[in-house]
Amino acid sequence: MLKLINLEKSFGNFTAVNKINLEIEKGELFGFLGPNGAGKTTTIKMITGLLYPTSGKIILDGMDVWENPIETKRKIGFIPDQPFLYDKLTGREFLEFSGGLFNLPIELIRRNISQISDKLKIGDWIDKRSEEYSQGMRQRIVIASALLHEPEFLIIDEPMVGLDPQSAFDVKNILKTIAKNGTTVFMSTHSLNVVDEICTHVGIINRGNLIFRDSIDALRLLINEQNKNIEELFIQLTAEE
Amino acid sequence: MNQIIHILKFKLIAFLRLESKLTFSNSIKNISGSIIYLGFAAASFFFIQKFISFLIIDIKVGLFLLHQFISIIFYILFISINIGNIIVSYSTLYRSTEVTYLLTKPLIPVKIFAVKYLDNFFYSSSTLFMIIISVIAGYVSYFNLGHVAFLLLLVNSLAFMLSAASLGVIILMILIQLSNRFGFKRVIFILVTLYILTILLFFRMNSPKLLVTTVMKYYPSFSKDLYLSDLIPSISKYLPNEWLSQSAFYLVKSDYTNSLLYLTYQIGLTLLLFAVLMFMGHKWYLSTWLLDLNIGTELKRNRQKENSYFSFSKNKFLSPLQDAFFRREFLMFFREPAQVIHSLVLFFLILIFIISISGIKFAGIGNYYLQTMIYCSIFIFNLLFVSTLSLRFIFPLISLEGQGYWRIKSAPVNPSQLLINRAAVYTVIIVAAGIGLSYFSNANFGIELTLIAVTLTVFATLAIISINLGMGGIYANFREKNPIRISSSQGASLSFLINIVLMLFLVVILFRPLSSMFLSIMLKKQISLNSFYEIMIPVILTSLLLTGIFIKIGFNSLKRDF
Repeated sequence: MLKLINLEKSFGNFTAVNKINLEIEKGELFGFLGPNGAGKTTTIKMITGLLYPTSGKIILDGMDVWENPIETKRKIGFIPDQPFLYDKLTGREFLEFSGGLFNLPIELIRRNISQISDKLKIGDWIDKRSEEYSQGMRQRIVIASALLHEPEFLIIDEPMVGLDPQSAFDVKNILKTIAKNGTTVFMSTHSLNVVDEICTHVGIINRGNLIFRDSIDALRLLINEQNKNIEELFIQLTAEE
Repeated sequence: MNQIIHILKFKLIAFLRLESKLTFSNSIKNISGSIIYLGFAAASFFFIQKFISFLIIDIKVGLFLLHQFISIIFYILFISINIGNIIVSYSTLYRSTEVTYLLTKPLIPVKIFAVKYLDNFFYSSSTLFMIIISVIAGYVSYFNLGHVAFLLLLVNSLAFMLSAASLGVIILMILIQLSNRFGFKRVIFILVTLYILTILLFFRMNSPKLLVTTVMKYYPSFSKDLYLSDLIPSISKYLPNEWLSQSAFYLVKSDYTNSLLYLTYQIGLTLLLFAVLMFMGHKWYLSTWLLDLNIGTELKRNRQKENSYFSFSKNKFLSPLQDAFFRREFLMFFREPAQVIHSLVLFFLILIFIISISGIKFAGIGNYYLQTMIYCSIFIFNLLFVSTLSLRFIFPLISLEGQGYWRIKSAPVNPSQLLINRAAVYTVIIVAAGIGLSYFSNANFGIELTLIAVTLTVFATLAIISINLGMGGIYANFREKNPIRISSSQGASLSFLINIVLMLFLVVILFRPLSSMFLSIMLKKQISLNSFYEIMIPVILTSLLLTGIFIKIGFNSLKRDF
């Protein structure tokens, strides 16, 4: 589904992402972990077309993301860490706007809005302007907009920011469900518990290098072998030398 | 095309939405804004009629000179729109979160480019449109030209503005490409130098003084209403400002063939520049967007340790609170490239203007009404500089507290005190600029008149600063981080209109004593300054009243919910 081949991004002398290789299969719920400044957001920005790689390739469903940007973006749903909403538009209008960008028929957009807003428990807020939203409600609308076109590949940068426990619980369930239904999820997060709870596979990036990539079961085995919890293991793996 | 229409449709919905809470203060704000807009439109309409009447009937400049003045004014307008679009487009095309959002969607980047370009053009030029529509209506009404002429001139002006804006964005894209190769500072320096040379060269070739003298020399051998083609430098005949003024000239002469010819040139240039812009947008927009991101990130990474010379912590004269305020202001100003570059450009322009005006000696020759008009134009130009500086640096002060305003609100600090401290720094600089402009434009008139002019300028400057401070509070937008966007918002446009009303009030008050003075100079009589002393009282009182009212408005705006 997604292949990162020798992917590198440098800014002058600084290498933010250092020739990483990664393969994610269809239906995986991949947790991308790493400390602050490790290269998680840079990697995501390269996949979503916001940063041009210094070298290497990003292949999504057999297509190079940078050679076929429109076709690959159609397959992607993206939830950034600092999402953008038009303050003067209501949630529904924003979702209709987002659907239009993917050339979806308006009937399909409306049907999907109804279904997704139920799942995300957006309720009456959908017809209020974004400027009235709490952080959590903004996040729900952004998640809804990413799911609206039923993407094959969902990229999320810090999904739980600003969500209350109920919303976080709902989002986790949605992610698990869509992954079961065949959508591939690439999720960057700091939350080790979320990774432990819902991810099927895990990658850890540190100072631009991919230092771990395996299934969550393999990670759990490692945790048991080392007689540590996930937090302690993460700190050990990403510790400064 | 469907996607562009789709995006524009939702942007229009968002734009047309008023404040979500229909409170009393919001209603008052919207109604007052509309009244100011309408009042200004009406004032522009009548002012332009009076102004043309004054030039044609009182001074008898003739149609040719009138339209050459219009051409010169439109040249300045072209350069202003052009530079304005380079600055504002940079933030809307390259630094907007909306663009980042749209780039992750399956859209061809040139569509985003087209939408943001049009958004930027119509959003930042809305006040200018209103002024131009009123001015054209006043012009058409004065010469009794009818609806068709109004429409032709409107299309001509719109095309003219679009050409200036398109050229600005073309230059911006080239600038980013060159910055990557030769370094940002070097490219900016060359660009500023080129603009200054262009302006100086234009005024060297199109000196209004030389033009007036030449026309007057031949008058009445030939009519001043003839199109004196030979007096126009050949290069000027290829400029869009000249096409606009000539198109208007021939409309007044009922020569539609020639008028339409110049309109065709204008539209042709606009289409050509727009086509080049879209072609470049298609080829370069995404690559320059990515380049800009890279340049920005590299700059951040390579940033040297801050210069300890400017460390406020060593300063024993400031209280910890003042130290905290000033240090934050200082660091945030100098770490924001838009603030530094824009202030350097503005002060450089002021310096050029001071050098130019200090050499002008127009008193004692020719028509004393014309001299008064030239003096008033320079006076308004000085205050326009003051207004631009205030709009750019004072108006955004409250908005720039931004999302970090919670820190001030939740601290044991008086927000009004903070505002005074912040505004004081900029006020000192702007007042100094105002004094410099006023001193050098009056230095030829003797010390007493210079002192009077400087005093009037100081009070007018304080009023203008306060208006921008107060209006910046009423229209505070804590979500907008970009000072340029804040300075080109609708609230800023309203603030600018109030500034212009104040300037016109000052010109009206100054006109009589000034014309008497120039008459005395022409007749080599003793100049009486009594009438100047008399007008100082209403000017000072009005300025102080406005200062008090708008500072109070600024303070009150700080009490609003955050």
